[in-house]
Amino acid sequence: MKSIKGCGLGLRTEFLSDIHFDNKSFSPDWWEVTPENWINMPIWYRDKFDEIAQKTPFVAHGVSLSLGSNKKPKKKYLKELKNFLDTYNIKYYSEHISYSSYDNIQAHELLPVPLTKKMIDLMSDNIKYVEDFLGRNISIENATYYHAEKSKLCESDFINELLHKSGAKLLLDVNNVYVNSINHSYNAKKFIESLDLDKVSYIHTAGHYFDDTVQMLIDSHGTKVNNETWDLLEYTLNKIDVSPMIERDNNIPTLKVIEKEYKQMKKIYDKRASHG
Amino acid sequence: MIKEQVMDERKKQKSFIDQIKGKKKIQKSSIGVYKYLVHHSFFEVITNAYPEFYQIIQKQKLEKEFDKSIFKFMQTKAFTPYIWEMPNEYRKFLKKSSYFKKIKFLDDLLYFEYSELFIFMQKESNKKQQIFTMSKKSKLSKYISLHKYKYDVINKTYIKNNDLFILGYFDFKLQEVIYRPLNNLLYSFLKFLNKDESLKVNLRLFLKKNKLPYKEYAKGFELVLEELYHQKVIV
Repeated sequence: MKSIKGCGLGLRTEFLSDIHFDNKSFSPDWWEVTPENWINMPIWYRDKFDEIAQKTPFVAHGVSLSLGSNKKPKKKYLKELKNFLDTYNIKYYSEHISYSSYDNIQAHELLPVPLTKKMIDLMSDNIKYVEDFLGRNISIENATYYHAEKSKLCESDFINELLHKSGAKLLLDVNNVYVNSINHSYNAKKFIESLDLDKVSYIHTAGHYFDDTVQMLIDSHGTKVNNETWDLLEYTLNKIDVSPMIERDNNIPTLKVIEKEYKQMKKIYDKRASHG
Repeated sequence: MIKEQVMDERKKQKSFIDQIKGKKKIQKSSIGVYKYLVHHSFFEVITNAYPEFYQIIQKQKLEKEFDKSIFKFMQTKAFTPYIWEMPNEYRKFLKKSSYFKKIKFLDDLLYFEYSELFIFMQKESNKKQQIFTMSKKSKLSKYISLHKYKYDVINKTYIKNNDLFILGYFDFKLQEVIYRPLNNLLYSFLKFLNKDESLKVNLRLFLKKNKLPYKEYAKGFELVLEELYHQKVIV
């Protein structure tokens, strides 16, 4: 991931018609794409997607591999995924520390894995299986969780051991850290310090909101990035030299609106870079 | 609590999944958050893919049955990693289930609504074509819908109609999905097409099978097949 410089944005179909390649138009340093959304896409998006792929580097971030599942990812899907990554020359692929299917039945939601040694073994096996198939070292993201089973291992120990055992890199989502820190009452900065930061490949930021009904912060990816998350990003970027990006999956605004947030992120990133 | 501690992660995950998919009672409110999120995601995708179907559900006040069907589907038949394919799995699930038996035209309606999404998601681009000739070996495109409907779901009359043969395809000029009725003969011919034979041989065999004179029908078929070739219905 070190070879990708600058800041990224999640590519959404809503942005496509506003992406142009003249000097006046905005383009991030790189786009993050979710393969599940682009392996099959409405036909009128394909030409534009191909054009963007030729002009701007892509990083891929998956949502359905279900690395914490009792079953290995299906070969049919892995073949389609590999073909997609190869076609668009995407070197970097990431997934989540979670599971989204059980006995091959999908939940289409990132579910929290039990923080146990057995789960570290199982996920490490699944990660290696995926890496062998894709021919790529992958990154795994710390996910949000709204429910936590009692466990002997704390989350950061679990993540560090999983990174060590599997050899995967860490996609550090600072918004997820913030949301979890509030929902489960811990110190976000101390949590980040406790992670093996040498293993971080890149950083996610996103928006969240407080849900009155469940009395929790919800990692919605549907609002602008909150000040607390910007602060945590800045804090993290002062410790490690990696690229950040913004995820926005719901209530997608115009590219113009996202551009403003991108510039805010870029400012934080450049400030860090100038120190370095 | 002791029982909980001896459960290994497999059992924990299974129990968690059973709770969020409505198979078991929710034991903690924090698990309920996931039940809400998962159901919401399935609900959104299915109702977006089947807007007409969902309007009927609302009109007939079948929301409870709809929710039950979603939970049952989530528990048993949601396999695809691709969200856009989920409505098709739900359609197939309903076909074999006992939900909504009152809606006689359900199969046809869901097939019709999903076909539009399916046609959108094709991988063919608008490549230049060779000149049309009847001596070319051809087949139906993978990205069309050719279906015999029992009910008129296209015009939303839902009247039973045994002769509703509908072709759906993506019109590259108009950039939209077009549905057009076919007569039984053309529908049967398109279903009959064998990719290992030329269109001409296919037509001869088809007409012979149906005891129809080649000379009388050949020209008419050629014209319509040429048009369908340019629409990339046959490739």
